Amino acid sequence: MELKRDASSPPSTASTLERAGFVSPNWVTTRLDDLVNWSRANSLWPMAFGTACCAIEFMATAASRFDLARFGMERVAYSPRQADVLICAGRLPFKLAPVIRRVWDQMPQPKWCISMGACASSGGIFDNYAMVQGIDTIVPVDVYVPGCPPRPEGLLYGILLLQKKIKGESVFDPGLRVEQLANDQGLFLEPAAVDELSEPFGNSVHQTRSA
Amino acid sequence: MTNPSAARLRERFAGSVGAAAGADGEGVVHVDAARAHELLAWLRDDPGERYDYLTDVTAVEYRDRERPLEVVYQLRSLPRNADLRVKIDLPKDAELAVDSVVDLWPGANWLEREVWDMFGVRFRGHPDLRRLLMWETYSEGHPLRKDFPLRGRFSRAEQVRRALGGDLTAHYSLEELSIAEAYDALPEDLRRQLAPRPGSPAAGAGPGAGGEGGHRVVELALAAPGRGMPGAPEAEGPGSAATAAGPATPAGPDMKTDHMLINIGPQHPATHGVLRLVVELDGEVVVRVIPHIGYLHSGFEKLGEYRHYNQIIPLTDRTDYLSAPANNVAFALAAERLMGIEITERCKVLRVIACELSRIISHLVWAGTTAIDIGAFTVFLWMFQERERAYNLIEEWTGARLTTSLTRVGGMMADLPDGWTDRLREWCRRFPKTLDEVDRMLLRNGIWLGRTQDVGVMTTAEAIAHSLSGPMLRASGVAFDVRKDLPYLDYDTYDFEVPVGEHGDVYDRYLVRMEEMRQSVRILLQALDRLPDGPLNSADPRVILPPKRRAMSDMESMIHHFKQVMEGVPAPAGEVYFPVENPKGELGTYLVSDGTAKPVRWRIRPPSFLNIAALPKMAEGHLLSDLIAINASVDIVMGEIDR
Ligand code: SF4
Repeated sequence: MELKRDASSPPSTASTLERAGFVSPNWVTTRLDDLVNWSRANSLWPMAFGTACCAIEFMATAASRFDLARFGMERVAYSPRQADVLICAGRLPFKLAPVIRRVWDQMPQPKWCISMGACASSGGIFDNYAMVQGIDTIVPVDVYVPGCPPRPEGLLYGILLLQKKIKGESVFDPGLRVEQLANDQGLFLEPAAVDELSEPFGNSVHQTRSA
Repeated sequence: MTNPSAARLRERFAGSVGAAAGADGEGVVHVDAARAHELLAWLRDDPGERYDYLTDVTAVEYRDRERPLEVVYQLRSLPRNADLRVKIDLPKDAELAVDSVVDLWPGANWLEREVWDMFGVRFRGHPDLRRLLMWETYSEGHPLRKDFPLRGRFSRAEQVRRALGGDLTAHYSLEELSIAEAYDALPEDLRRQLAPRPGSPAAGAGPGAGGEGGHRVVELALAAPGRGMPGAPEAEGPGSAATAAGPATPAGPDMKTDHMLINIGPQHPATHGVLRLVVELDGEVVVRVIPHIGYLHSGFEKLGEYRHYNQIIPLTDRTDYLSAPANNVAFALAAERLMGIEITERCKVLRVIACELSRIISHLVWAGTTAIDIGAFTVFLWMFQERERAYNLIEEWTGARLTTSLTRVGGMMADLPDGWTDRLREWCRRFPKTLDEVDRMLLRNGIWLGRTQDVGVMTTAEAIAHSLSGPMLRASGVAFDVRKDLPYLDYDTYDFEVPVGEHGDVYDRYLVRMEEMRQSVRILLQALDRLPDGPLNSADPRVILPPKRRAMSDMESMIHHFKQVMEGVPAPAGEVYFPVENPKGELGTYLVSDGTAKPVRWRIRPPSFLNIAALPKMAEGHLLSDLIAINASVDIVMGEIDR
């Protein structure tokens, strides 16, 4: 569309704020939110924390057929300091738990986390001594993608959901971008909450009998 | 049938050799802990025995608390193509300790560490007996012991707290690294190898010549002329620098160069999973590399003791997740031998198709990721495109792309869908063209050749001593392929070649794997040609569920169906070691049953675990960038290494 401008009257120099008299004060923040969220949501740099089988499906998502780049994720970061989405693709044993915690702590705000697969989300079929029962006991999670492994379409859907979530955020919400630091015990949740999140469920409740 | 070696052992080591049980043609001898090392050495060296290849070391604890714990050595004689299993009984009231065999087979190093970690058996004389899969400060005990609960001893919150809190340095066992002593601890030949790097022509300094700073020969030699070393020939001008530095340049204290310690992984794109390498560098030369594994330890083997045989099959998908169908087949074969089940002809051929298809998709990932590591991104995209096509076929057959759970004990999960064979045939026709294109792109590429040839060499003897298997072993010139030498699934009736390398370097490993893919296509086509009609599953009522229609209408069948699903299928007491040729190497499934429906022990002999254990041997003395290429050439998959 061509902007028509009357040559006789100079372009208005009144800023948005000056004109704010006849729009709601929220108008500014909303527009700014829109702009910021739009750019954030469409240029997510994923930190691919691929550990197991799910990482193979993550690779497939990034490769030619599914092409992650279509969603603004052209650049897969392998350095936490230049990333905004932690994608935990695969199971997380206790031995790896401090690693993902450190990666998360190294990522600058704003940051989000996708838990890809049953294992990352809940421990999956590994309800045993070695496995963290859901990475949400270690780092906060925004989107859970179910599946074992999720299909690439599933992961893409999860990413779209995250974009939707980001578009609903407010830049001025002080509660959103607060670091949820771990205490000196390494926990960022209450122990009771960790226990509750890790409760066995479904079939695995009954499968603790050997022979 | 018992193994003839058992009789000879009994003759020679009278009194130290116990019962020789023969389960299904497998030789098993129980020997005395006190003389075990001597006896194993004899088995290795005696010209009539020549058990030169250590397939596996593991342990078994029975549910019966009175029974002693057993340490199991699975031996193979490559020249005689014979297997023998040697067991040492360790009563639980005494100290759990045996003599280490690392001095006989270097490949035992990690295997013994794993047994220590998981069972708490000490190996006397082991050079470095630390935990392997769990971390060094892990305080819950030894997970595979029967008194260790499946979910561990502590509450989940406590487990998370212990994993995250505390002294992380101790957790990572960094204290093992003290740079100053590292070089001096290297073996003699390696020190010599380190000195004359290409580009440092004046590396003539023999052992001892460099005085206290032997390993600094490279820098010293280059720096020497300008520094006017005492006793060095007068050499003026930089032009003569390269030739002037004679041997025996004593080190001055001000010329010390420090080694550098870098950490690669566990979260690093070039480690192919959560492998962690601690590398000590002298300039760019790798002096020492220590792989740390266990970051993906998921407790598969423990979990298997709590599952029926058919319930273990989904677990096998997730060990070597790059070739899930082949793992499914491997486990089903072992369980069938344990239970004495014959499978049908159609099932055999379908399993061959599954195995070869997964060999191809696994090698595709290997080729793609290795090429990325060496800098060729295109290959990754091409290979993944082919993999997607293969995924389509697998998905049609099994409903899943990755985690297929394709087999059942006694048969298959599903038969082929209509028209599938034609689509596979079409894929087989097109796929080798991609391989040719990749070959054309890489094999005439100077960078590729330079980065791969003569890099990471394993000689034939070293490859055997380190218990390498699969393409790694064959690239080093050993023509051992389980499909040919210990045939299963009638592989001996297929017409295919086993590619064998000459140099044992990264380049040969590439050639071997590329050729294996072509041979797999040949096998696939033959399998398609011979695919017989007929029943898919064995008729054995013990393992095969009655058809749904009968289960719903006939009381007997319904009870049978219910019992099978809820109680599982008991396997007769006994044990079996079943090796198959997986894409990564020899995947052994060692099952021990005490007559119940859940195995006492499900041991996976993980091929890439043993292959990566030889990484220090391959990489030390090379450049850091070569370390990446070598690590890629091993074709590791952490799910299987850490289990
Ligand atoms: S969710 Fe399934 S596919 Fe993903 S890591 Fe876990 S076991 Fe593997």
